[in-house]
Amino acid sequence: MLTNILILFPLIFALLVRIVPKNLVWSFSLGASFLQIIVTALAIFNFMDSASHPSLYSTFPWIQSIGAKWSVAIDGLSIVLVGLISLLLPLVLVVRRNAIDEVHNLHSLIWWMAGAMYGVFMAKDGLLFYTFWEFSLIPIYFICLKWGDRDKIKTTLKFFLYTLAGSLAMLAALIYLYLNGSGSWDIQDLYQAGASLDVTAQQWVFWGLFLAFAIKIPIIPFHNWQPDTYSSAPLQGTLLLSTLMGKMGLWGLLKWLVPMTPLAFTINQNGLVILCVVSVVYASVMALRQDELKRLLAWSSMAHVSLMAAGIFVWNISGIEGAMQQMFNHGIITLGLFYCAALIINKTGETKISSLGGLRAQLPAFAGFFIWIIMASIGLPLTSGFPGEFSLLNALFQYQPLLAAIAGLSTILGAVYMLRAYHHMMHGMSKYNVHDIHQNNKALLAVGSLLILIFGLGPTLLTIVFESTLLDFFTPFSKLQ
Amino acid sequence: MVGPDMENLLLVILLFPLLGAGLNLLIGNKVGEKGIGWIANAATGLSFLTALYVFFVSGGCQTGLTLSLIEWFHFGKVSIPFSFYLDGLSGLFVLIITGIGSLIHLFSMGYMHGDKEIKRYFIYLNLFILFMLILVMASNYLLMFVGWEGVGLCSYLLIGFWYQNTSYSEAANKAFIMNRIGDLGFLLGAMLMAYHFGSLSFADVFPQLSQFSDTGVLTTIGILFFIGAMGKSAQLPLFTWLPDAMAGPTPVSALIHAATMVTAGIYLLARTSALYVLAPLALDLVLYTGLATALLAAVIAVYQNDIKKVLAYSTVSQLGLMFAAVGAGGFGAGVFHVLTHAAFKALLFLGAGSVIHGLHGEQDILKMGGLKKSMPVTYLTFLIATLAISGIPPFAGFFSKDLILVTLYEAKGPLFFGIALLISLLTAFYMFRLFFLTFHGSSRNDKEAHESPASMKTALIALAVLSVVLGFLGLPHIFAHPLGLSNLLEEQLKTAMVISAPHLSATTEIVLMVITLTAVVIMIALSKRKYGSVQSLMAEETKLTTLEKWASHKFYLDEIYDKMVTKNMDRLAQFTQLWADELIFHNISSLSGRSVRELGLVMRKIQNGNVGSYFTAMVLAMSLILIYFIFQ
Repeated sequence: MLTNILILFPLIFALLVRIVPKNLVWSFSLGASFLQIIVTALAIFNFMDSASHPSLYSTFPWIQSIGAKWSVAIDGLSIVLVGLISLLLPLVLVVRRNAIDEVHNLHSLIWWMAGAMYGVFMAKDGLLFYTFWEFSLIPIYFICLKWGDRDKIKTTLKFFLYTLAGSLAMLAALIYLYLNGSGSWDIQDLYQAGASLDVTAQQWVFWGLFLAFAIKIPIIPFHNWQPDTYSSAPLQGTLLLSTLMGKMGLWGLLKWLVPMTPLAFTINQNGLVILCVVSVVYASVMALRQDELKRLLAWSSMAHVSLMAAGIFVWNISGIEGAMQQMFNHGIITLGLFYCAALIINKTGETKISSLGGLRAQLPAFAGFFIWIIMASIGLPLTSGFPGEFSLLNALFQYQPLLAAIAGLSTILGAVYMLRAYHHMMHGMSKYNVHDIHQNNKALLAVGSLLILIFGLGPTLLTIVFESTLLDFFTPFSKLQ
Repeated sequence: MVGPDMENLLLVILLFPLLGAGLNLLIGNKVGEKGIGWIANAATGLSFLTALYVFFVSGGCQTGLTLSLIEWFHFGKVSIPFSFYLDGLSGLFVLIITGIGSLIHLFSMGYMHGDKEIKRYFIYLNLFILFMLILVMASNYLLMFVGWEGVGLCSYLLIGFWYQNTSYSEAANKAFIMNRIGDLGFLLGAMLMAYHFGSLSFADVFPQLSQFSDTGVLTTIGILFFIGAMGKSAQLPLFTWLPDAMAGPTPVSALIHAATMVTAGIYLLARTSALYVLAPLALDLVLYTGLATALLAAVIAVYQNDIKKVLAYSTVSQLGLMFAAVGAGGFGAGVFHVLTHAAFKALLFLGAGSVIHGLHGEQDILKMGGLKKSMPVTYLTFLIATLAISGIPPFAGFFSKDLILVTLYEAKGPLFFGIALLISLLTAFYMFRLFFLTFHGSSRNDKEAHESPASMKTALIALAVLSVVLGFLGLPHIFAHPLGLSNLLEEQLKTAMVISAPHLSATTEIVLMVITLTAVVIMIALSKRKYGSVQSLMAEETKLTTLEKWASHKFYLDEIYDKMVTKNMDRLAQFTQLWADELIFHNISSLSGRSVRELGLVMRKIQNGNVGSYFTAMVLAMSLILIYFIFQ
């Protein structure tokens, strides 16, 4: 029941927010997002009570003729991402840009997208999964197109074509699996169908699914849409894309790719792990070159998500645990970073790091929050960025120490480009006459900073939720072959 | 008898500095400059008193106190708890950190008087104490890493404390990044250890070592940890951040970049001594790196004119000596020198701070001179510290340096003893050069020097006393036995780490001692002759030989790193952007975009709106499908 509420409420809100009086849109969205948090909390509560609590499952026929079902469920893994959406939604919604026009349209699209993303993480049916996957693409496309900055038409089209190409490959792969299965789209049946295929067929399915996920994450060489899109999208769009939507791809790797085609995965594993590690270093090196703040953050984000993908492909407990933790924490940290970037750009009207400078004297409180979030991003212990990153590197180390050392370079490079950017923007003599940030902004940054501290001091708060589900779900590599 | 609540006091030791920082953060604005200072001082002082109490009541923590709180996190099957451990080694370090830390906090009240951001300063300082305590009190390597990176953060924040000066905050970045390079080594070492021992707790790992036969793994762990130590303790090739770190306020240099944080590398190696003795190859690397760093830094120090830079290179050099001792198997000697060095080097830095304070910011020793009369307390305490670092008995440095020299002689032979002796001679020379140029001769500037306020003087005197007495804790056996005394430090450390006292004959030891002392005294005399009574700005410093010029430019290491690493990294990034990202990936994506558009143009021709042609296409397609099914 709760599962259906979590998906359907946002879709209803998406309609309702259109008819709410304009000046009440913010309050409405905020209230609605708190409702979502309460429902999520209830779901977590029920889950901790009993992993098979009836409120966490819902199945009924959808398209009977082809055996597709409305089948959604919350387990320990999906609840982490469901929780992340619920947690970040209010923060994404309250972000204000200077006099944004058509707020109710924007919020309607955000709610639409939220509903679809809840669906992606809960779907237990292949066709339903695909439907939600596509369904989430439409609102973000319009958000980027309508409220984006310069070049928005070109970059949005690029983004759209990329993800669409991936989606089509995924659809083909899923249909193929369905046709070779027992006439059901249920994920377990698809797992069986996939495992029963011969190697060549598995390879086709594997690469079809992989393409969709790799584009969404993104890892090289499927990343070309990302820096452009992150920097030209409006703040809300960037936040949705970087904190939540990229996680759909990682989720796909974990739930819809590796167990689906185990044989193909075992054959490709080496190459994939190396590809991801290359992607980590590549993105870190690219970040060194960026002068535009949002692009720098986009590359930095790519380095982190690539490391999570590597952790999943390594396919050991440490790697998946690290990836789950980082998916959650990276969401919070990235939100903080892009939010800080937006504040700076808003205050100064300047997007280039080299043109900025000396902001710290005018923005002391902001400077404190900003450096704290940066420290989390580069994985300082006791921030939430550390435990997941350590687990991921450790997983790589168990797989191949040299790869861990290479991927570990990103911890050094991360410090280089982040601190260099901070230094250029914040230090030196003041150049701008700006006032310290507004109380509302402070409150939002304080919430983010506190979450970073909480999950840095107590990462077990998170792992305890998904650990037992993960152990049930996880099939050791040797058994995949 | 150790009471059950003694363990809980470990938490109290940690909580005071945290409380101090928190309190200042919350009410700092209301209590004024004095209030802020006293809160921070009280926090460190109370932490010190608690540590002292625990130390003495538990008999020097010989049995080892453990306080395990909740789990922090786990990866795979390895669990990392918030668990603290106080034994002979960490107990000693806790006393150094909180003791010297308290004095430096006190000194800071005077030194930072009038700075508008004094609240921020003391919050950072208290946080530093907290993380430093976590570093030495952790009972496992990852919790140690919390402190390890935490002190790095505080160091970063304090080096760049005056952030409006961009070169200061660049120095802060450099420190953080160079430390990060080392930290990756630390992390990889921890991962390797976890892989083979299934744990990162000292109590789990060390007992397994005797049964562990793979020396290659132990050597690798040892080297990786040492890479971590290179970063934190400023050893070749990662030492160039430390001289730049002098951008921070001088008390910070004394506390972080001389007495405590930079000795964390020695602590790490001493803590892991049980592993290192099984990895001789790693120890050799430590020895060679330490000696090379010590020699190089000592040579550079001779040609520096900034009072803090001289001391910074001196610190690098002394740390190198400590590593050399450790590398020769003398873990106790290394720790002993950490202890004495903490006192006299902190004193030297605070003395330098007092001079800079008195001269309103002047740092060039060529422009000082004659401060003897106007700053008597600073003069006298600085003299004590200089004698101590030069290794003149009975000052503290004599005993610890002597132990290092003897250890090197015994373990590695006369050649290594000779190199270490040379380093000691250089030390005596540049330190007295600094001393004479600063305090003797005649004044070479137009500033009115004044002695520092009481809070600063108190700290100086206290440290001067420590610089005299601390050496007696490690009284050499050749003196201790006839007097019926014991080497307290060995007693203190023996349960916590590998300790091996030198077994040379008394005659050999005394001969070595006499050789060293004679040479040092000659060196001081030389220094006095050259710098003892300089009257006017020195011209000779401009006529430098090539080697001297190189040395004064620290052998162009920064430039070399810049050329080799920074430039190449930028070039790689540029290459990646231009060739990989823009040429290949961008073009692939726009190519596929263009082909889609062209496909679209073709497709548009088909969708011409003519129902007839649609119908034709439909019929055609259906026939094709039918044909396919019939003939398949």
